[in-house]
Amino acid sequence: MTRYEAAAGAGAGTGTVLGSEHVIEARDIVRSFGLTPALQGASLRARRGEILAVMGPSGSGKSTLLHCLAGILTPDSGEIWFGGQRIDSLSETQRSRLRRDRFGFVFQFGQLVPELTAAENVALPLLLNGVRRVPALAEASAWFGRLDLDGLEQRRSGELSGGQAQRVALARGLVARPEVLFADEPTGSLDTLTGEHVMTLLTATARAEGTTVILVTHEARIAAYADREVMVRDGRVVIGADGGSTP
Amino acid sequence: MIRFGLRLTLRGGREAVVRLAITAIAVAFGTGLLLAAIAGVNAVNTQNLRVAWLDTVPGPVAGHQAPAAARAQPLWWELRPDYYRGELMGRLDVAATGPRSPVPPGIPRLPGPGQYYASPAMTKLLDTVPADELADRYPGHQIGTIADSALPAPNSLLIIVGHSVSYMAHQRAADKVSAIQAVPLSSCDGPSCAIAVGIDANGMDLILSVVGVGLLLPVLIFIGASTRLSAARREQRFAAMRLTGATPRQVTVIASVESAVAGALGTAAGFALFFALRPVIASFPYSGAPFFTSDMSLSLTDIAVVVVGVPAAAAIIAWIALRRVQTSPLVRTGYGLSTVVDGAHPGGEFSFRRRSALHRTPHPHLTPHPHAPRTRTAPTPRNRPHSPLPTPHSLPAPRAALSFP
Amino acid sequence: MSVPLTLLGLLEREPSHGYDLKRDYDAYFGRGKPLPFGQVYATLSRLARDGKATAGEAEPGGGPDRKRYAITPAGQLEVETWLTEPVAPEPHLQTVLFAKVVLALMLGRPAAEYLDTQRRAHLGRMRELTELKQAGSLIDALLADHGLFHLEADLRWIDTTTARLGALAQAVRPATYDRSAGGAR
Repeated sequence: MTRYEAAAGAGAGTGTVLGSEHVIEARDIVRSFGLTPALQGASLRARRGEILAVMGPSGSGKSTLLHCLAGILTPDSGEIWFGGQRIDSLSETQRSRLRRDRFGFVFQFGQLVPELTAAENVALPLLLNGVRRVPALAEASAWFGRLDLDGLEQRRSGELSGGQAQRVALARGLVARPEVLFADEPTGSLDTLTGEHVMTLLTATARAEGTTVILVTHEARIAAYADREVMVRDGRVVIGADGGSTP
Repeated sequence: MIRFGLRLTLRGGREAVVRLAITAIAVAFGTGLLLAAIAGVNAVNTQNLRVAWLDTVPGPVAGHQAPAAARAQPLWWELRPDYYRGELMGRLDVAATGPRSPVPPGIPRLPGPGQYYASPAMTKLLDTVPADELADRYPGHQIGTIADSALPAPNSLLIIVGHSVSYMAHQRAADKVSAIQAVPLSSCDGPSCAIAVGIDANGMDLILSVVGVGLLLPVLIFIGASTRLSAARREQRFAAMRLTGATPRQVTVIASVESAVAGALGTAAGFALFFALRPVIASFPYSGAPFFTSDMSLSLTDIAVVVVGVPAAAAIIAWIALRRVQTSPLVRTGYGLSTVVDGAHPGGEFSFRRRSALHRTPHPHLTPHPHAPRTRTAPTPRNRPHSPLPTPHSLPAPRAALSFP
Repeated sequence: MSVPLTLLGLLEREPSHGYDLKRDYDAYFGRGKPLPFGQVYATLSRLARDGKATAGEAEPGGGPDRKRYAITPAGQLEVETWLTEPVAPEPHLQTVLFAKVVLALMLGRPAAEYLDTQRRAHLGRMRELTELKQAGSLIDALLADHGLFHLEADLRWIDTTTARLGALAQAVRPATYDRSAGGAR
């Protein structure tokens, strides 16, 4: 039994109502790109505060599932529930705000804005929300010490190493105190030790903040940092940690 | 958001500044050319207006009747070309019949017999050339200079010589004119004019328009290319911002700010470029004679159109180019729609990374069973007919692999 | 590599002579080391003694190698249990997993499910090791990494095999048909 399971008690129920313990859920998501079906009825639930690994081979649709959960893509059919409301039917502007205020992102490549310094990058969600520059940067700077990034505030992304860039992206993903952090192959372009450093910090800070993490990865050693894993195959979620087919 | 956009554009690091400079230079060229074309058209019109008086002919002038007093005291008028060492000069012989005879522009009063006015270039020529080669042609002495406002060009050689009425009456080619032409004749296109200066205004407009477009087109292409140069980077940047939660509108504002800044800087530089090169452009005699620099003027309307139009056009081009990015925080890469800048693994998930085995001292925490020494079988040839399946390699001692506390 | 269980699994396909079982074992699981006849018959006898198999009448003219063995319900249960339950995860398990997958395919069992169950067990163990790694000293971390990398290698094999199950089933099953006339499963 993992640390999380011990703390959370017995496994989840399978009721259709989104309980208060589940923070985000996908129901029967179908999504195609042109003629290529990416998701064919994928369902997934994540509990508050848990770190959930979404695994699967390339082309299984796991990244697409993450994009749908995060409101980046809208599914062709199916529902996404977050915080008690459906988010797949929101407008692009509303979903953008959701991403800004309540979600965080760490993707394979840092996606840092090259024209901004590291501190400005971290402060970006706050700046986009209208927070004034000085307090936003102060809030951002607090993260640099926590993630072993001291002294790098003024560097631009081109002057950061891969691991540093990912940690800056992690800081940016957490600066707005989001409820869910979405990570898609966050260590994919890093070497083993650097990747482990990033994962250690990611899981430690997420747990400290109580942030739910949805971690898409094809690497077992990275998925091992999560509390449980689900498998995506051919556009469906086929295994949940509870042993049955419903996650 | 606007301030944010300004910061991104102006304080975005060296690369951003370089991109800004390239776009601004392209816009500057375009603006400069546009201004030169507009000013060129203006110059031709101004010049045409200025030399209209040389087309003075006897009789009613462009449909308006001269005042009776002027008709009563016409001006004797003979305009003919003259040459000095191959250079064309204009010579106007005049004689006033009375105090109310019409006075050509550029001189305070009509010269009397034995007097003449000369243009500045002519004055200089008269002073430097020996009298028997030039000055002796003109009876009398110079009493003043013809003002620029009457000259076709700064280097025009023009002289207005005064005579007695009786002298002029005996000149076969002399006429009596009662009014000075003030409007350019619409049919004046060189040979049919008294002096071969000026181009039909409509013709000029057409020529300049064609030339302007022909020169502007490469510049527009250059602007498009420089925008595309930075397009990939901008797309990536905006996609990253959209991912972080920027609304499509916020991105639009920022993109517009960037384009507007590049456009504004470029336009300003274009103006500077134009004003710096104006004298050079003015000296090209594409209407037959060069222009005064001041001829190449821009009306307030002209300036307003360019100052507003060019940055606006730049912003619109950028908005069109970035419409695709605004709809999605994901960028289309070679692997299909994926995360910002390609999340797909070229090597697939099974790229195997070898690691050397770490030391094997049993540790009570971590290894529930002691590591057994590994026995290696002799590798079997792969094409054994009996075994359809590939044989695995290293084997542990079977007991050790399965024993647990 | 559990010889009794493997032979029992092979036996479940249909009643067989010891000789046939040995031949198939050598072909699929021998890896160049044929099973000694003595071991085969000793194992079969023990299985019969434990009630997991029955030894038929010895056919005329032969010794123990002429006996026909058949599996009993107890034996079937044992095979079922062995296949269904994941082996406690640790490195160097390829041979056992390999045997289980091949047998599962031969017997028409849901090999994919078994592999998934094993994957979950492996991942659970990897989670434990990862936690230990973060909590312990550098030495602990090194040891944990050793386990983690090997478990990861196992998982890679599991993933590849899962992807190949269709083809593998084809390769494995026809062999069970052409052995005895009329005794097709």
